[in-house]
Amino acid sequence: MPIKVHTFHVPKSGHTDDEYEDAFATSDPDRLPFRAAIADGATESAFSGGWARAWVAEYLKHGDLIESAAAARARWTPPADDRWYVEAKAAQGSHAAVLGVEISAAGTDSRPGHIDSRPGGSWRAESLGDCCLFLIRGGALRLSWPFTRADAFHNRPALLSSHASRDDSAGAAAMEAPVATEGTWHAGDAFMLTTDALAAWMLARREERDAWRSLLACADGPSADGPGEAPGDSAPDDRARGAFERFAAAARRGDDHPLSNDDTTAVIIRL
Amino acid sequence: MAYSAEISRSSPTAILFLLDQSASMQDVFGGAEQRGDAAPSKARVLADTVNSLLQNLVLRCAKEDGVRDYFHVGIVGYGERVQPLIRPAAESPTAPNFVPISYLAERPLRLEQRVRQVNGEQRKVKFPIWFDPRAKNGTPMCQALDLAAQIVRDWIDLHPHDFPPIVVNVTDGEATDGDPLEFARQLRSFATDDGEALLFNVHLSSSEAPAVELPDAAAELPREDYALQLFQMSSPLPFSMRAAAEQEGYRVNLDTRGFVFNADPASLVRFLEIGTRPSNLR
Repeated sequence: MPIKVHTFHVPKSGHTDDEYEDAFATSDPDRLPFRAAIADGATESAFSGGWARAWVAEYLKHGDLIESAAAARARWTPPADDRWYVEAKAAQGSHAAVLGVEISAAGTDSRPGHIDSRPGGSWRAESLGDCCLFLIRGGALRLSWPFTRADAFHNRPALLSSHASRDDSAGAAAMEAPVATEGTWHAGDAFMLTTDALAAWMLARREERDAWRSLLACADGPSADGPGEAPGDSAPDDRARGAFERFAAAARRGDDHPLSNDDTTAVIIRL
Repeated sequence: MAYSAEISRSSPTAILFLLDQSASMQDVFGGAEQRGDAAPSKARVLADTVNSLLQNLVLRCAKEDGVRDYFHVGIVGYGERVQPLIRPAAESPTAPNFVPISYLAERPLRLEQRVRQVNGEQRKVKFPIWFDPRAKNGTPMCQALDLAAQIVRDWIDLHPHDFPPIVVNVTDGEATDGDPLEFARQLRSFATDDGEALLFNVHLSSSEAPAVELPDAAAELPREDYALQLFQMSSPLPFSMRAAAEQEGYRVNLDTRGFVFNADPASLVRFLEIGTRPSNLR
């Protein structure tokens, strides 16, 4: 029973792909522990997309938010630029909301390789900021973490800074501590990691199964009547991507709690 | 009015500064740490305030690939004359008397080296200067508000659906050409689909009364000749800006107005939402 992983992303409407500042990374789905990370670079910092990518890459190696931050900071050197405003922004540091999850086999039976002998195990997640983790079990949304309400999101979340110092040139306040949670998983579960816009959209619809199932269905490939349907004979990945882009475009146009116009990213993990 | 239009490159908003450059601005500023002869003039504080606000605005829009034009900026000085202080290039895509924020970012008068404390170390940083102090003649604030109304109306004609223009008037409060309240009302009556133009006032006074930031009632104002009038001229903060203010720990309500007395007005432009902002950056 290998893990199936689907990743989706679209930039903010009106922005180019180069301006997309979310990041995501997943480890080898054939090996446990499996790790997935997602990050959302802050609009108002410079180099935040690069910082987001640096952290998710380190999370796959370390599986620990703080250790990954330290490793990413050690490697982090934004390109030198003598324009006064780029220098000033670089001095303020780069910022991103980050969330990582590590999925392990059960108890002491953890071993590399496929997990078909014992379909189930434990998981652990850490977060700083407003990315969100969802657990879907038996077709129901069993967990949303660390946020449970759509109105909890705002424009000024705590974020992971590329500066280790808590007292940098911009007069930074003390960094809020990351939060962590853990649980057990069963065969058939699905995890979804999302950046804030999609998380808020999901939470506004937590009782509307059809709405968020349409999102999960993007990972199911083409179907006769679902959003996965795509014309022609394009490859499955392209069709899934097209399905997600259509899903996001429709959700942004919605009347009731539309999807905010923001970089939008989802990592769907089916166990 | 919603004041909920997204501020983006395709839907920018306008910020128009009105700068009091009258002779009374030569008097000392009462809100400084220094007192007496050591205190800076109000004209010096105005120049520092405007340079700092422009720097903050640029930095809010700056990314590694350049400055994004979320804001169109206009500046009108009033004193010896009432006149726009920046002129857009002929090919400027903006309404008359405005330039995109990226244009200002690339064209400060000069960059000064200033020393700042960074992580316990003294570091040199570049500080952009666009304006130097100037103080001459009377205070034709009514004329300035009238010109601002025309400039705002021209901008709205080109941006009828965008977040409405914000006018930031920096003054010591003493109009010498009439009652500015009427002109302020007229200015605030021009609107986009998203809301009426906002007028915020930054009162720089020689009074040593304690600073006041974002008051919601006249009772909070200092006993200073012009504070009440400037407070009455100021727009209430719209919902989106109140929400941002609350997230920063300000106590605000429906009556909170965009007015500061001898205080740093940086919050007034910081409350405009253009995307995720690190809560640990102020």
